[in-house]
Amino acid sequence: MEKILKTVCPINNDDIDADITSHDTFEKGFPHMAFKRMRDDDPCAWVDEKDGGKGFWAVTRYNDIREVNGLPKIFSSAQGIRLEEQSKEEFEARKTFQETDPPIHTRQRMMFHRGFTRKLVSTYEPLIREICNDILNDAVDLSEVDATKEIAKKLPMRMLGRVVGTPDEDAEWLVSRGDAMIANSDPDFTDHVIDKVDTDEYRFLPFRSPAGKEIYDYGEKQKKLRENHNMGDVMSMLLQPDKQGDKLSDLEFKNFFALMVAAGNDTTRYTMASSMHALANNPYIFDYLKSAPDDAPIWLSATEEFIRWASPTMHFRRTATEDYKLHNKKIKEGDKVAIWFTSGNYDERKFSNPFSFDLERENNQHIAFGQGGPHTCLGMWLARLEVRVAMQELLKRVLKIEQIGPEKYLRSNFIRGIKNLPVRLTSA
Amino acid sequence: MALVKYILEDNSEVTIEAHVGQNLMQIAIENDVEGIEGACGGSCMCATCHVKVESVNGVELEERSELELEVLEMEIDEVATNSRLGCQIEINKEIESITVRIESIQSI
Repeated sequence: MEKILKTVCPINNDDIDADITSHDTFEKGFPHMAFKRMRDDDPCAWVDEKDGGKGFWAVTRYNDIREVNGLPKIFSSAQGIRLEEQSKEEFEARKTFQETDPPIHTRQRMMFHRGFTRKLVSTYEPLIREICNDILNDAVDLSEVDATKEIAKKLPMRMLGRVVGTPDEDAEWLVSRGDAMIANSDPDFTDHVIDKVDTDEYRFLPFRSPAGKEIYDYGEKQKKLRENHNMGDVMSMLLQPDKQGDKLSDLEFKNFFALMVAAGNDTTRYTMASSMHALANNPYIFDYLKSAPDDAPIWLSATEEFIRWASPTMHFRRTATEDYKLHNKKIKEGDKVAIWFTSGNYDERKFSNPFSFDLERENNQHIAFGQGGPHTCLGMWLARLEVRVAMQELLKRVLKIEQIGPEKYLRSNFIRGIKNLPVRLTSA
Repeated sequence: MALVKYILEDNSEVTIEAHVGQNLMQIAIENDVEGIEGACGGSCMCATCHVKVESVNGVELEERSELELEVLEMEIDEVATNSRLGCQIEINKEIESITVRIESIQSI
């Protein structure tokens, strides 16, 4: 039988003129056709914002995204990385190293980087398999499950918690608080939907969310536990002075903890959900991977393709520090520029047959982790490892995955994800 | 202009004529050379452009900076004396040719 290792991406939202600022747009699925039109006709497009924002340039082609991302002096992160307009006070209260530029960024990031290097992360594989064991055995027993809720949502925080040093029993609560922050535009995850209710009183908290306060308090408690006691986990490591003798300030630690709980969870979750969606709908891919041993090279290319396919962080914003010309458009100093990684990962100019899921895609230089600039994802090695191990362990336990109802998408113009994926698992 | 030869993991070779001012990571990305991810865009923070310098003609390369060495030690299992981050080697007027072996760390 011929190997069929490719499949075509389902286009749920084919609105060619979709409003890419609207959270509602993305609830219908990623508007691939609208982004394709922008890549083809207007790759550096001015987009007005209806929520009082001053508008932004949308950069949608792969090479242009890498160009902007690779010029942090001209396209700064130090005035915000999301489209939201912030006062200086709000910005200062909530900022993490993500909202800084080199050389300040380099120093701060290196403090955190110690806990997430490829060398260190590669030692976590047995631990991650063990966590998969508990969660997947429970899910497979249920037979009919929401695969996002019962698998993809549970694994990343349990994994992250073990690595950074939070107790297993807190994982579910941390996930719910993380969701309330980063999914602050989806009523399934928060009562304080950012574009529906007044969130002004929370403006100094991470993601303008009351959950930010709960996470701050929790982070502070964890820090206290480690003040005079090295618990041998990543949090203890981060609280030690670095080689230069610098230590994280209280606010730096709290904001990083909030960022880790929010961003460290949902992006990996939605990558796993998207991967399971691909496996459920493409039996050939399922069968091929199921027969591949854990150390087969196909797993490495498959993992990169799972990540490109999911591209959960749709964009980040930069702010121009000087005038800059791109595709004959004059980006002015002070303008907001959004680089749309998801669009770049489906750019026909870079990827052959980008709407095909290709298990054997060669030299897959996707930018799902924001590659090409100093802010590339700190957790990318952990994410890669988690996605690969979770899919390997899932396939060992099932003979078949069938989707038994329509998937539902997150209501967010920032994070892309399948928030509900009803499936039937036939256990092996 | 300098000749940059990349030796890939399968021992095949790619030679590129590079301009002054470009670094070895940028040259590899622009020319789709396999095994160089350049995740941090040349900020000396990720080691996904790790190479081993086999030879240089024209001039001796500058020593590794403290940050470059710190990143190599954090990310690479065994740092060799010729281990470098491609993003930290910039083509200048003196370099006539350089040969590097790609030591990819994209996989985990």
